[in-house]
Amino acid sequence: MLRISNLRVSIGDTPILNGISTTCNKGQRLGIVGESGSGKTMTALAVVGLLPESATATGDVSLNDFELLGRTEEEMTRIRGRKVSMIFQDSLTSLDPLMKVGRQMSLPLKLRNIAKAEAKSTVIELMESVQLDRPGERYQSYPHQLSGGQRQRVNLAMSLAGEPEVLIADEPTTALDVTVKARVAKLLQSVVDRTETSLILITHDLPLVAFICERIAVMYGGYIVEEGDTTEILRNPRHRYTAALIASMPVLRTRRNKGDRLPSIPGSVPAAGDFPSGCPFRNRCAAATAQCETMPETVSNGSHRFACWHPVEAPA
Amino acid sequence: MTATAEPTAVVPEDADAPARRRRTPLKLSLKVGLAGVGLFVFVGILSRFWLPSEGGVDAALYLINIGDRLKPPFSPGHPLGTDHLGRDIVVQLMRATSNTLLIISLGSFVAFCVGVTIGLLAAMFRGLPEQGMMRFVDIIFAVPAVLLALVLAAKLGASVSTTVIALGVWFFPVIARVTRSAALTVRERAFISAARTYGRSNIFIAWRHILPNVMSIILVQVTLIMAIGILVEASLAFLGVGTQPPEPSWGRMLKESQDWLGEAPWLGIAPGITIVLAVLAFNLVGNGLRDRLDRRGRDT
Amino acid sequence: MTATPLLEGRNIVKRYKLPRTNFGPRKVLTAVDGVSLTLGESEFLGLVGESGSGKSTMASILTGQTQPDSGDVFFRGERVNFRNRSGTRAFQQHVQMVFQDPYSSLDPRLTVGQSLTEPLRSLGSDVDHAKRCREVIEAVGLTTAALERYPHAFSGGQRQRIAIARALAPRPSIIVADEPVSALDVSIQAQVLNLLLDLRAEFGLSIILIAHDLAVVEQVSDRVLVMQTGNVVEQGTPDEIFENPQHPYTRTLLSAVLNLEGEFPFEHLAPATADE
Repeated sequence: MLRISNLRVSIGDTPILNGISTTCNKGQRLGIVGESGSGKTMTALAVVGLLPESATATGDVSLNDFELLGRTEEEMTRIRGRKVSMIFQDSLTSLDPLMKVGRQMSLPLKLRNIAKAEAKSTVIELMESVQLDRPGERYQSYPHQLSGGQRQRVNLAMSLAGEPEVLIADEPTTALDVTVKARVAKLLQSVVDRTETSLILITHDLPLVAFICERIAVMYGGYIVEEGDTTEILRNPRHRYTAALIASMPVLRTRRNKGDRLPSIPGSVPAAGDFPSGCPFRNRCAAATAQCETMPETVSNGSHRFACWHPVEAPA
Repeated sequence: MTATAEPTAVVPEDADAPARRRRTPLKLSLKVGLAGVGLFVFVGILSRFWLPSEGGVDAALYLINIGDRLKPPFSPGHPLGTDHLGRDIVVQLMRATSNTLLIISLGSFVAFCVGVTIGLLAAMFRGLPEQGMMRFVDIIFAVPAVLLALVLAAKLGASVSTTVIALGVWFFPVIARVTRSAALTVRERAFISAARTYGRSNIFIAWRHILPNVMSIILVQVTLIMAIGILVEASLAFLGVGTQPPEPSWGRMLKESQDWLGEAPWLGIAPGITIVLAVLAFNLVGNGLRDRLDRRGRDT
Repeated sequence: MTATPLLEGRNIVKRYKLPRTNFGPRKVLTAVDGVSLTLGESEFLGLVGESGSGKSTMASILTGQTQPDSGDVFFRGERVNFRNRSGTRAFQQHVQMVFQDPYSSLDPRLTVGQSLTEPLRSLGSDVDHAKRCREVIEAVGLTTAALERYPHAFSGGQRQRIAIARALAPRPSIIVADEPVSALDVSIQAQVLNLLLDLRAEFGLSIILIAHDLAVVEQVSDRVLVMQTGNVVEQGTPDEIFENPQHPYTRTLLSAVLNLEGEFPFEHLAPATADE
């Protein structure tokens, strides 16, 4: 199981993550949700050891009690792909444009000491496992000859080729067309199910999280502001930001009156380091009071945790 | 569940969101380079108005004193010695600085004008005209500089203008390529398409939108060209092309020192070291600026 | 309704020659394959489609950036002459565009004020430029202090507002917005969309919104056009399209929509296919 304890990351003097703590058990699927500037990507980078050079990180990130934070690059190279793997939003720049797809996909197989002779057939198997059609043809293609959806399948296959324990997916479907998004989402869910890999899905797409993840952690301003069971949180959010975020997403066929304006959150996400003291959301929150100048305590309701002085009313 | 349903809030964000551009301090190597280039430019400009010798600036150049010839450095009145005609080396170097700098500046300017024009046109008007222009550029690129200079000297004589033209012709291909590739990137940005939505022509877009946005990249290239230009000027001076007596240049000083290297090595060492330092300074500036540009590009 | 539509496109065709890959004949991509559409006064038209549908090419044609290979565009009943610059510019006075990427929509070397006056200078306008700038910057919810500053001082949402202000400057009748909120944070998207609705109410603008989020399109549009590989495959009011989709592609689109319960509520609409 992956455990993150009190993870703090700063770049220079600017705090990016302010004491993040969460866990992800074997086979569990955790969704980390937030907008830009929430720190969700930094959290992922901290786990795989890809924080920028200028970043300082303290706290604990451990996989099965094996500490990941503070490892040397050499050590992390052996861990990536094998214990922890990651796929990114931009499928095209994730792949080497000058190397054929088949050859690229065989690279992670070295992690499992698969002989060159077997490599090709293993790659074809991998392609089939991600429902990539015409694998023989794809093997000989270059990344730019594949569509976005196909490339994400390739990335997914490559990231699982090393049989990692944890897969981190950072906005994997954001750049894809609607129908492709649906197919890749279904694929991701089935593949992760089948291989019993733990999944950390980082995204701002709430319906996607609802589809794939059992647990959700909502981030804002470098804090986890609410965490718990996905269905519970999406139905009854307690933190004001979570509630506002959910409200600002229009849902098909649940139209309010035609003339109504869409609900939005006033202002915009501050730049890193410009968040107000105390509750990071207080300068955009309709319910903020002077009390919010001190950081809210975390309230736990079973597995549902949130940190808000004036949470949304719990259902009766 | 209460949702925060606000109408389009007029949040005065401009007021409380100050322009946050992190001012990165200049790296030491860049500072050193800038100081070096600055010093050379200062000396160059100064030497057109004042030289450390008797008489006016022009007189100093003609001040031949056979009696004083080939004095070594640290001689009284001649810190770096004198040359075979008794001329003070410091005076010669200073004057040479202004001449060499002038030559490479003019040469780079020519290369800049021609190269930027070709690069921008190639980027804006894709297709056949672009191919034609870039292949022409390739051909010029393939011609060795020395050969080019000799041909030019034969046709145009051995004056300073020949060197300037040779530099311009030698370097415009690099500028053209750099301009074109940078322009192609800028071209894809939305504000270029926006300009088309209100009727701006390709020429206007190239001149007023693309050029300002690629200028910094081109200037980096220009500083590096100037560094090489110093060496090219020296090579051409060896062929007798460039400044004519009595106007010195670093290259000419080097050439003239050849006959006397056995007896008076300082005649070659002084301009030689100056050339090395100048090339180094320009390189530091060019590389330093390029690093800054790269970093800024990554931050945004 | 027999009134002349504000904007009309008839059988618009646009093809692109693809760059050579081998030494063979160049393949031709038909981006727009005979598209006809109309837009009325103060109408909010939603244009929906995936990559390759031709929606961006249509946007490009309707704002005069690209000439159609065949077909015509009519503004207030008069045919637009794309063949010469003056004809195109006369048309562009009335139709302006907002682009997807707020971070590259503004020339970083120009102040906001300068960016806003650009369309006025180019299209030739008698108005007092400074006054017009102040009007439009306030209309989009920013202060006049913004006019002196450079784009990098602003967030994505603010830059998009500035881009909208620039589009408003020449007083167009129509604004074409190509995925104007896709690059913005979710909580900001609604701000910008609400702004478009407000501006329509205030200035009587017609808006063509290109978007991939069906729920957004449903919420704000009067009519919806669905495009696939260069054709309009279905059109109607949001209720008609989303309640009772006819074309298989529309049904495919709907079946891909996820809701907050993590379900595909319209999966049953999907046409039976054997695709990847």
